[in-house]
Amino acid sequence: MSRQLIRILGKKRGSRHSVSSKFGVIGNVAFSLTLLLLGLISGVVFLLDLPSGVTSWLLGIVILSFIGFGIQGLVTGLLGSRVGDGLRFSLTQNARRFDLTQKSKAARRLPNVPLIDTLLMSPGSTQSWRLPVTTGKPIEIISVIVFFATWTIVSLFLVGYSINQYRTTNHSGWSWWLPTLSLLPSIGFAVWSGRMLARELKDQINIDPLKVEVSHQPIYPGQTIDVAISQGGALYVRSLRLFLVCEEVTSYHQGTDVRTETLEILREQVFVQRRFEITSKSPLAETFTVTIPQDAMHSFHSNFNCLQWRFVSVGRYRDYAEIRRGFLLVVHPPFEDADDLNRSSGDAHEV
Amino acid sequence: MKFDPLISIRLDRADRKYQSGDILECEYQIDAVESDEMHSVEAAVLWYTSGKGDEDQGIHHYQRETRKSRHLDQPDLRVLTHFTTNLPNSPFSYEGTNLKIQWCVRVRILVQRDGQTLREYIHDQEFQLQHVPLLQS
Repeated sequence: MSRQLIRILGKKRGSRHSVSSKFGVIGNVAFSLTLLLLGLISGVVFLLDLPSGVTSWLLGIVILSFIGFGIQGLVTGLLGSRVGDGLRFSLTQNARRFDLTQKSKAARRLPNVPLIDTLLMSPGSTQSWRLPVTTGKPIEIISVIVFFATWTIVSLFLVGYSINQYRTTNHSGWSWWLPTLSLLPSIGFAVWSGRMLARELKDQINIDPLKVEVSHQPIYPGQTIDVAISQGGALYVRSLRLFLVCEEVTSYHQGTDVRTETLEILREQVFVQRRFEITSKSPLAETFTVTIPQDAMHSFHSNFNCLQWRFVSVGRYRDYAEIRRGFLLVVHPPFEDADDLNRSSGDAHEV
Repeated sequence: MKFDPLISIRLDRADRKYQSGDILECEYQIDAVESDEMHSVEAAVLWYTSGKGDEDQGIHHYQRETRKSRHLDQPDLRVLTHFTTNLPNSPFSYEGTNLKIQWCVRVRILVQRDGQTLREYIHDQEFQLQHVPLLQS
């Protein structure tokens, strides 16, 4: 079916466009060019007849935003067009050439492989590096806090408003009991979210976090590393397991939604201990070795897809819900270069 | 009736398996199209993902030639063209369940026939960069 040049009415579905993509690019470039010219012309007029006070600031901001949006639209429009393929590649190459930081050099040496982020990692106490926790429940807890705070404020406002209305108006009107009626569900939401928040915080506060330390980062396929785990506090542990996990994480558009799917392609239990007690005098402290499979794929990261390696701990404690935490590992491809900029510690052997 | 142009790509290794850091040598040629119908030829060494996620792409090597950019002694864009490139250290070719990473040499030509609008033709020649199969857990 031929594609219409312009369609005023008609719903765009999925990734299909309702008009020609060429028309879209031309329209975008024309609009941006108009915006830029308008900004430049009004800028010249503005400078020739400079107003005083707040007006000059406001006009200046508007003119600058016209010029800024115009340039941005032109650049993105051209990059999105057929001309843009070569232009984009050339720009990226030139930008990389002038970026001389260590991080950029390492990224050029191993494209699309995550770098060891020394900001997230700290030196360990028994092994070289302590791994950063990648999962806990920070987003969930923040969401519950926001939800709880919102409904508490709404409830307090409704209580105040209802009391005020009750005292100031005659009781035959609608104005006081309607807010009172909506008070009940809002208090219900506040209490429910408060209880949920208390339960989450209880688990987070009462249980010391598990610490995982490794002897080497980055790790190479086939390499054996020492792993140390430790946990303090006063706990009765029903079971504590640690898994080496490799996952494919893919993001895709479905209509206007973006969905992310995680698929475990490797799950290997590397540590398990059952029915033991952790006290302040006898904290958990274990060291064991873990071998990355010889035929393992290296960590990979791009815009919509990634392959990541993690340790995942699953702890079951008396009086608490099951707690899962992830600890990010970086597996690099076998790389025959003694001066590996990414190597942060240890004598990783090439395979 | 006119046939679609033929794009042939030849790599220097018959098994099309390379290690990181290897030099990839490639030749490409275009047939079944008139010289004056050729607008431009682009050759790229790139990787792309396939599978459940949206496609990612990374260009490692890129070259573009048009009739204007060609040397005057050889303005024909269809002739056998040779290029080499040092392959990068990553990412490796990978065949997973939801994610696959595939390397290829891609030749894209733009052809303008009988005053019609430009039409593109693409041909890929896939190869493996230190291929990693799916882990057997």
